[in-house]
Parts: sequence; structure tokens; C-alpha cells
Amino acid sequence: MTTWTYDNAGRMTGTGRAIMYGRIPRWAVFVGAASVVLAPILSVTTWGSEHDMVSLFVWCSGWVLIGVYIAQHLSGKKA
Amino acid sequence: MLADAKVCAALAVMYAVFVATMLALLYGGHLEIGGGFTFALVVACRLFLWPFQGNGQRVSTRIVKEAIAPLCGMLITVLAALLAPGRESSAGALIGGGLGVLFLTFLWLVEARARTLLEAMTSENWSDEQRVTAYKWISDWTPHLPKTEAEIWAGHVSALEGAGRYQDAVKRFLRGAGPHRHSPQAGKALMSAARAASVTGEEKDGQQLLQQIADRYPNTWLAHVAASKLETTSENAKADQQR
Repeated sequence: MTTWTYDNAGRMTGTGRAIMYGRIPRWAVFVGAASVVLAPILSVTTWGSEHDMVSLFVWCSGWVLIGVYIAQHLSGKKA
Repeated sequence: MLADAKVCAALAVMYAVFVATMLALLYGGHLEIGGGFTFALVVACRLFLWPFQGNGQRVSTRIVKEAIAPLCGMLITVLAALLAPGRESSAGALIGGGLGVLFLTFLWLVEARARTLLEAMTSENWSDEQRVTAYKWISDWTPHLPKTEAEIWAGHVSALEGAGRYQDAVKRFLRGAGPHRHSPQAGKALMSAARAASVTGEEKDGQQLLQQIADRYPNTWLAHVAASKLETTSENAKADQQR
């Protein structure tokens, strides 16, 4: 079930390495961006006003994901 | 494998009961309790993912539990909030689940820091004092065994070397290397033990240790590290002779 990749020195690379060392993987930023875009659309079209708090939760989570990634990127902690 | 299947089944049943209870509480209007159960459900993600961490020898399988758990927790929270009737029930699920996700994220970051320190201890040019302090941090903050046995063992080798107990580091390495011969941690510990051997005696001792390991565990990661280290040492020696 594992699909992790390793470099020649036996160190984990890609998503596995990012997760191991507490970094946000790059693809997660796209998930965050999708949350930011889709949450308000779903709120208006599908979920209705009853679940607007869920939309807010997903929307905020998306921004947190993007924000943490940018902060890690700026501080040199890239995945 | 069978034991894993049984554990999975037991956890799945427990999880189903949890979900049913949470939904019943949310539907019944017990919002705080429903929120609490959502929290418990999210935190239990870690436990539920436990059987998928393999035999604990490989870091790659264990990180699934650490980092996937917050992700699953997020999905559970959103689903619970969507299924809960009304705004108040939804809010209860979001608060409980959100706190659960934060808790899991905290655990992930603590474990990631422990791993970063462990890596740095064995590969970077740290002072003895820094190594011992780092190992103490790892022991204090991750006593719930998020580390594999290989990591703990490798950490001991490195800490012993860092504390100046060079002979002990080499002895510890030789005692513990066998079961972890396929682990990258064993490679790092080998480097540590080789350094320790070269400090206690001559550079030759370190080389002998590397050769011994390469011979004893052929076709393993450990042997690969030993061989490449021997190659580097031999190249350095040739370069010195030429000079």
C-alpha cells in the first residue's frame, strides 16, 4: 500500500518527506485552494444556508493550509 | 496478517458504534455531548489507522497514521456537521471535530520535530551537548512511542556517541543492528558507530566495523551505507597519499 519514493541515499522524497518533517506538501495547497473556491459555491448552491457554518469551516481551513504552506516556504522549510 | 484483520474488524465495530452514538446525540439535541463525541471520533482516527502502520520497522508506513489522521478527522468533522440537523447541532460537531483536528495536528508536528531532531543528531555536525539535549527532548515529548524501534535504537547509539561514551555506542550498535538491517536508521547509526570507533582507537577500527557490517548483512541498506562509506574513506586515503 505504500507508494513512497526514496532517493539514491535512501532518504524519503516528495510527499513522504514533507509529512515526516512536518511540512505541508505542495499538492495540499491545491486542496486548500479548492476548499477556498468551492466552499462558498457549495454553500450557495447545494448545502443551503443551514450549513453555512460548514462552508465557513472548510473555507477557513483552506486558507490556513495555504497560509501555513506560504509561511513554511518563506522560512525556507520547503517540502 | 490475521491479527491485523481482527484488530481492524474490532476497531471498525468500535468506530461504527462511535458514529451512531454521535449522530444520536446530535439528533437528540445534546449538542455539547455530540460535539464531545465528534472530538473523540476524530482523535480515534489515529487509533483506527494504527493497523495500517505495518510492523513498525519502516518510517514510511508509520507516517500514514500521523498525517492522514488529521485529514480524516477533517472529513469526519465536515460530514458530521452536514449530517447534524440544524445550525446548533452543526456548530457542536464543528467545534468538537475542529478541536480534534487541532489535537491531531499538534501530535503530528511534535512527532515531526522529534524526527527532524533525530535526523539532525545523526547527520549534522552537532556538539555533544546539543545531541544529548535533543535526545532528551525527543524522549520527553514523544513517550507514547511514535518512533520505530529502529529510530529509538539509532537515537541511543547517537546519544551515547554524543555523550562521549564511544565504546558504548559501538557496542550498542553491534547489539541492535541485526533486526533493523533494512532500515535507513541503521545506516545513520552505523555512521555514528563508525565515528565512535575512530575516536576510541584508530581510523582502522571504524573501517573494520564498516567492513564487518558489510560482510555480515549483505544485500541490505546497512551494507550499502557501509560500502559507500568505505569507498569514500579509501578515496580520501588515496588522495592523502598522493599529496
